Amino acid sequence: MKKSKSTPHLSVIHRFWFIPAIAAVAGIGYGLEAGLNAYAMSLLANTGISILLAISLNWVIGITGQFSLGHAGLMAVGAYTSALLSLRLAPALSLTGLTGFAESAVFSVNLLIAGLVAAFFGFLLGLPSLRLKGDYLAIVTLGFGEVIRVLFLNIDAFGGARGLPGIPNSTHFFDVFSWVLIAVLIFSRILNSPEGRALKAVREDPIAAQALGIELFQFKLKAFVLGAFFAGVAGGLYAHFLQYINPQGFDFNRSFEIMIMVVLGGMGSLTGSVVAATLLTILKEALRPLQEITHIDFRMILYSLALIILMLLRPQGLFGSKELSLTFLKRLGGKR
Amino acid sequence: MSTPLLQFESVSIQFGGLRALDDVSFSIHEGQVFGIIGPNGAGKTTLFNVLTGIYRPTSGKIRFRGQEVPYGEPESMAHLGIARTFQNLRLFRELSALDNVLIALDASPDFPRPSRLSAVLRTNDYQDREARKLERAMELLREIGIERFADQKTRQLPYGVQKRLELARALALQPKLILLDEPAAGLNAQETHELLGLLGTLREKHGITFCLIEHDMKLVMGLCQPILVLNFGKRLACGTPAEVQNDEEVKNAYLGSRSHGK
Amino acid sequence: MNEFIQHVINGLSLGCIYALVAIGYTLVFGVLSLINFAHGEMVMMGAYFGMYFAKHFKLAEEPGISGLLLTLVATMIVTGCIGWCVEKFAYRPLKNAPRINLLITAVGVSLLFQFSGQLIFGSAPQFFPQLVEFNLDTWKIGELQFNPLQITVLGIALVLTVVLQTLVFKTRTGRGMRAVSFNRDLASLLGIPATRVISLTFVVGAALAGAAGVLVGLVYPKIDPLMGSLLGLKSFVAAVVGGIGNLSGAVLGALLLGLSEEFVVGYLAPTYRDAIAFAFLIIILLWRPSGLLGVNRIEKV
Repeated sequence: MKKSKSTPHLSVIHRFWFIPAIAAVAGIGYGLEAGLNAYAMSLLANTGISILLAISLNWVIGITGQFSLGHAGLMAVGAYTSALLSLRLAPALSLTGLTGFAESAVFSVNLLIAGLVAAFFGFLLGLPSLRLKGDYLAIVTLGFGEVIRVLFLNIDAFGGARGLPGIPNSTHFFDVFSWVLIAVLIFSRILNSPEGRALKAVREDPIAAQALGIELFQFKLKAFVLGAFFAGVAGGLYAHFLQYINPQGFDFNRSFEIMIMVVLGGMGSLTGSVVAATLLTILKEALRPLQEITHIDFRMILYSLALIILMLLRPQGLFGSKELSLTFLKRLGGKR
Repeated sequence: MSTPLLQFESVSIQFGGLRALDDVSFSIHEGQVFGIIGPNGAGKTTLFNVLTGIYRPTSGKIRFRGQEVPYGEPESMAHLGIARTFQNLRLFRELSALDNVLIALDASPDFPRPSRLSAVLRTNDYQDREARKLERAMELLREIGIERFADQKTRQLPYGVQKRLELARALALQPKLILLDEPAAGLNAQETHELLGLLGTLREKHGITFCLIEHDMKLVMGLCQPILVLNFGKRLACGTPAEVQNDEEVKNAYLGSRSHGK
Repeated sequence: MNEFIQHVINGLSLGCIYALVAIGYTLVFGVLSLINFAHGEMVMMGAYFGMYFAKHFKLAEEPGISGLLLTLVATMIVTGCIGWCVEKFAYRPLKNAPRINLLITAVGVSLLFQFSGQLIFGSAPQFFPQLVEFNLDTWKIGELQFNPLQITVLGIALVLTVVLQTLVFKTRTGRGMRAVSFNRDLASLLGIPATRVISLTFVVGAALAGAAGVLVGLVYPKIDPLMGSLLGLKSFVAAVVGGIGNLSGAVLGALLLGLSEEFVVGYLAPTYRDAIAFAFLIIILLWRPSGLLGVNRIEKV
């Protein structure tokens, strides 16, 4: 092979920006806990969890082009795993009542396990279904979500219809946003790597991708499993945020809610998903009083209408498949 | 003579009642530009699809560099060293021309796929390899003469450029054999002429063997040797352009019927 | 034995309802290659319209076959119109859009119906009026008791299926449908008004779903705005199991699903009833992806 000229490498800060970023998140979290009220903090945590769900689903739908409707099911797997770890295993290892760094460390391990279990379920689900074409995949993943829900509903160890109460309140600002950072880091770097390019090729034209030696099934499965992992982590964060989970929290409407974030932000745009997840989480809170008065989920009416109108008028979503970057922001500010 | 690059040994394929390929045998040797001609529906594209693993033959064997080709996933054909272009372009339309070539380079034997971890951490090794890849991709685009379109979205490119890009993408796989499905279709005389020149250069420079399906008789007769003539899935003849043109059966079935129609 | 036959009859009548819905899925999939997620909601709309219609004309006061038929026809007309609107305003504008957009729209339409249904009809369940006389004594052969309701449902579903088969295979319109489902562009070139055919397919599918809604209301009188979602999903599974795009396949798949659900409820655990369909789906897709009666289409490269 030809000897290459020495090319300049990324600067240290470009390579490792996530380390100071995580430290910054810790600092900001500390500051916010002191300065903001509980409601604002919970809104922030909610937003972060939505972002995590939206970008992980976008990875599957937008980047890889696989229309999955089972994200809530995978989130449920993570949530139940994580909750059971805290409720059953942590007391046995006398890891309860921790605070500060120790709490975060134990919780991170918990979430890692929750993510891995969800990833394993994603693998099991993907194995038979990712060989199917778009529409069939949608229906199988939807069915998977339903089956998972029915199982949690029927198995006593999982609390049945009553769900699992008393989950410790471990989800803090730091936990949520450090995981968001990790997800953004992993997704964006893989997206701009050979694997990400291969996934886009699979989305654009599976037959041509195969002719170039891209193992279609293997790549789809890997992408699906990665998405499932973060759905599981988000589930764990969600469980420790609400401190109570039941099967109803993971029904089809949940998958749909995540899907609309992806579609609104633009399929294939990770930054678009972040923006849309933030907007919709705030909208959801804004609409809550209306819902409490009428007892009807107006949000879902609005969401579904928005979805239809979006498909008719601007199917590419807010950002298309473009990424919002700093240079883009500068250009918005008039600079080139 | 050395072992042929590619051998078809009485390959047949059946779709319901239709025998799309019927007991077809031929071999392609290294460095040849092998032409396949035949009237519409003769089984030319089917033959390509068998060769790239999209269809599975009902009977017969295909050998590539002396080894029997396992039927299965189309991806394995690319790994063996067979690349192709498509009759109706199949580029990644929403991606840039450069990305189209990079995707092929990612899959080429020169650039083993990096691990996810090295991609996420952007190790120096990873960065070097990506830089080399980028350089190679630009070189390829330059060689094919479409360097200035590198950053444009593929679907915005003129048709002729897209055709060339598909060739560049196939080349990026560093294959032993490239299958061209009607490379001149939709090109004007000038573009066809340029394409001929390009194929010649590539053959000399990279030592790539070509196998092409084409309707443009002049092009096939001028460029290819040998030529395989198919009709109704059967092999009618196989030989030099002169042999094929003088073959009685070919005259009757193919050229004959055409002149008759005029 | 008696119990067994009872289960078979129950299963068949449930299967017939699935069949009516599954046919709609299969028809639409045939002409548009779209899983019309909103199809289940047509069943729900049918049930609600049927209920309001029957209540308005006080048909439950003197139950009988004529009142039922009247309700059925009125409902089919109304849901047919809704189906027409959905196709015209939500799907037709996306004719040339990527497939995934169409699918997302379908999901959106489905949810829009579910939740605006809650807004319009209220989210609490309501009761479908009893339109058929329920007298067990009159329907007895030896030891066997026939529930007249089940027999009526079975009969109506059968008649509708036969009418549909005739429509698709014996009429000019049906020929158009089959042509469009084979190749829409080619059919258009041959002068078949593809847009009209697609529109009509939606109308027919929605009308059948509406009829299914009335029949569901008769058998399971508790109706609510979310009832269509699971029913629709299962019927779709039935269509896939039978071989999507194939009418007889849809009926076969639906009957199999109805029977197996009934047996699970009868002999195993009722809680697992809803999981059967998906177990079915996964098995069939692994074992025979084109369904029981489906043909494998070769993808053109």
